[in-house]
Amino acid sequence: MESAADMKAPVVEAKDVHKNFGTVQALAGLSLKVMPGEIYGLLGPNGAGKSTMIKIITGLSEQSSGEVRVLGLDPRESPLEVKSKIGYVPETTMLYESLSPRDFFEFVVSVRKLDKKTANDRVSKLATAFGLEEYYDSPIATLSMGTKQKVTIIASLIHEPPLLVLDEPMNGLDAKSSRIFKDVISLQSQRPGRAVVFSTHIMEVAEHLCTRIGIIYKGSIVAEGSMDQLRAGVTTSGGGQATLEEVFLHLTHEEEEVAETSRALREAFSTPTV
Amino acid sequence: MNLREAWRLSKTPYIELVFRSAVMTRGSMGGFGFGSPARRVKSITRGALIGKVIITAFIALGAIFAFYQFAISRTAAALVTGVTLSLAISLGYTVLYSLQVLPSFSGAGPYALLSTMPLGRKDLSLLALLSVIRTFDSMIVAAIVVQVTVIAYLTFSPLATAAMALVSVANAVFGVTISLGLAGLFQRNITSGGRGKRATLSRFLFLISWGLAAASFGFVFSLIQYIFPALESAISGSLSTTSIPILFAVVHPFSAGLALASLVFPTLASASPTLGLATSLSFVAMAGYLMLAYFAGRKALSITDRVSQQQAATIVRQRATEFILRLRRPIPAYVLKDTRIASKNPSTAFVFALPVFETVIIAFSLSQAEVLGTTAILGATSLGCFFALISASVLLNTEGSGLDYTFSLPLNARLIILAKSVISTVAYLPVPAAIGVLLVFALPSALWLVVIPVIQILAVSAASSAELAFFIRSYKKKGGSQTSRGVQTRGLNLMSAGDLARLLGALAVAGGIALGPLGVYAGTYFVTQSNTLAVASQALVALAELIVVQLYLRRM
Ligand SMILES: Nc1ncnc2c1ncn2[C@@H]1O[C@H](COP(=O)(O)OP(=O)(O)O)[C@@H](O)[C@H]1O
Ligand SMILES: [Mg+2]
Repeated sequence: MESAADMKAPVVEAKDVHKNFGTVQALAGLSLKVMPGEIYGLLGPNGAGKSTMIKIITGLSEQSSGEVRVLGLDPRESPLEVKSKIGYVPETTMLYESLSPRDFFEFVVSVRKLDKKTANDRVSKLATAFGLEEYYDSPIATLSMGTKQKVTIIASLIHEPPLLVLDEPMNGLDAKSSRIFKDVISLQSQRPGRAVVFSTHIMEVAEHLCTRIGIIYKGSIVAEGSMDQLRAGVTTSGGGQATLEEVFLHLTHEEEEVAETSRALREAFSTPTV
Repeated sequence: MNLREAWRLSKTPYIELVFRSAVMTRGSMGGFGFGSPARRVKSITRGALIGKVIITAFIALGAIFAFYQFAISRTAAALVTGVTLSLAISLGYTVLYSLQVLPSFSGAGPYALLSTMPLGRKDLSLLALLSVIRTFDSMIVAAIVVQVTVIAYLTFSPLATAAMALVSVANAVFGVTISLGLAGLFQRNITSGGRGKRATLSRFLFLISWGLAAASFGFVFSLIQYIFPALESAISGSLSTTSIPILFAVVHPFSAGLALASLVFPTLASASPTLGLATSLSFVAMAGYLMLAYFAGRKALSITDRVSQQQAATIVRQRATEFILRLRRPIPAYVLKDTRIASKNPSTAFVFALPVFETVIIAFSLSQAEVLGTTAILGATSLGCFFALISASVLLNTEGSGLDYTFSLPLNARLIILAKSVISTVAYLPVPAAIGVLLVFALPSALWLVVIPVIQILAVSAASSAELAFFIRSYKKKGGSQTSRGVQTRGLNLMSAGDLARLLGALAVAGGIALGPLGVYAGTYFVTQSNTLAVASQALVALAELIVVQLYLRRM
């Protein structure tokens, strides 16, 4: 039962979050806000701090400083409440390899204390939608990477969480499943009070799926906005509309680096080999 | 590719084979590994090398030792015994060694990367074959050299030496082929799914026997004490009885022993009509086995060829027709998850064998006691507690990389610890049961002594919880599966979250908690000479421990 006021409250709010691993600064004052109905994409190169931020949101890891609120809760103080309201797809599908998907779902659903009938209903629908019939009783160790990913995606959806947090969820998904998955994400964001946060380093995914994109670079958000807003800030050499790729490279100051690298590569390839 | 280059290159798939097998049979990262992944790879390959050296030495010594009797008295029976035993030892231990090193073979994992390189089918197949030969190289060479040399030296018979050489080679081929076949069986068992009762049970029995056989590898030296004399007397005894030689004449390696002996002792065949028939049969059988070895060799070649070509083993799947989940409360669900995982891995399936072990050991230790009384019961109970603590640490190995996911669920560490301590406490229950039964039969007047192990249930539960809490806490502190250098270590297990010193520390604390109440019992009895007071103080301390540990868990 969401009131109008609830609808205005951010689902995720992070203020000036820092995270240090020894001398490595993974997050350097990251702030972001995700409102209900949004599909927020954290877009950034490898090592930018996406997974670190996501683990803090899900209560798997704690920030060194800064504030994080998830559905109004502090994940450090109430990790269990936060975890019960989040559907999480980790970056690497590290599961109990000798369990079958059925065993695994039984475990997850039991620990989440879900209602038997609704859970079974949802699992059946999701497993059929993602074509898991053939793999349902095989040890997870024998599944392909994409199929394992489907298993974690299904597990993240069974309890109909208000917030979906996905770390590079498209890894290894085939065309059909990624289509289904995109549908699932849009459906999720359309339900009142719900939101999706996901990370990716792939432009197309962010471009087509997100309502808002935060470009993360070296541990902080360097630009944020809808696709159009991001484009507006960048002028291309041809004077036309910038692609997300151009925006991205511009913002992460990797333009020159890329140009330099391409020059070197071109040279390497034009040198005739003996 | 020439053979030399191929041999050099085959080192890579060989190390991969050893490493993956360790991971498959001993839990996520090869069991009790500490330090960085690179160091763990090293310690696993070093462990495999040490195992290889031990087995090689054992095969060489065993092959010589088998002829001990023959060296003293040159009788036909002693020669039959020598040949048979020495072949049986090299065959048996080659296969036993392979249980540890080859399980990952049929998964084709070790060869998947090679097959992406521009190598022809022949080269790939050769590399796979050589990596398998690397597994056994030293033991095969040792067996053949020792067996042939010993026969040449002891018999001076060129004919017998030549026969021994042929049989030795055939025996080595059998060892390799059987090992490869078993590796395939392992793969099929571990990848097979399905929830049918029979499938589950047979898979479980298979893995537990695999684990026990692989573990018995550690007892090679004690095995020789028991098996050797028994086999020896059986063989020499069978030669003198009438019909047994005929029965055995067609069984390898006895057939080889008999055939060789009749080459060295031509009179053996005419000693009795039975022996005459047996020796001629043994020649036919030996020729048959040599031919069989030829086919076994070809089979081994075709297995390595097939495995080197496929990207992954074919997996038989059953299409699910319904998706119904059986739900439980969180703790039982966790217990079930742990038992399911534990039953599917040879290293952890051991937990289920513990109750049997405990019962046997307790029965044994009590039957050895001079007087069955308080002291004996205290001793047997401490042994049982010790086993329960082992099972708690084995249960940590059921987590592996999945623990990261588990922490994303709304459960706290306390639930994980409680679930695991339930399992290890249940694993302890046979101890009071066994002691109770023994007392009923041996000392019914002192049946009350059973309260000592019964009270210990509380202490065992407290101790295993404390032990587990220690590891789960240090794992969480390190922030899951990332090491301090930010390296993602796939399949890190809980054990490696601590270091060796802290592992020992945890075991010491847990051991103290488990044995404390027993010490208090002994102390109180010593001072007051009252069993009632002793039992009461034991119960009080055990209960206090349980309460303190539970309070601590609540605050975690
Ligand atoms: N547990 C850790 N220990 C040390 N460094 C870490 C750890 N986790 C992440 N890092 C470092 O923090 C930075 C951000 O990592 P991460 O959040 O995984 O990036 P992304 O997901 O954007 O690729 C990287 O430099 C990484 O090496
Ligand atoms: Mg990441």
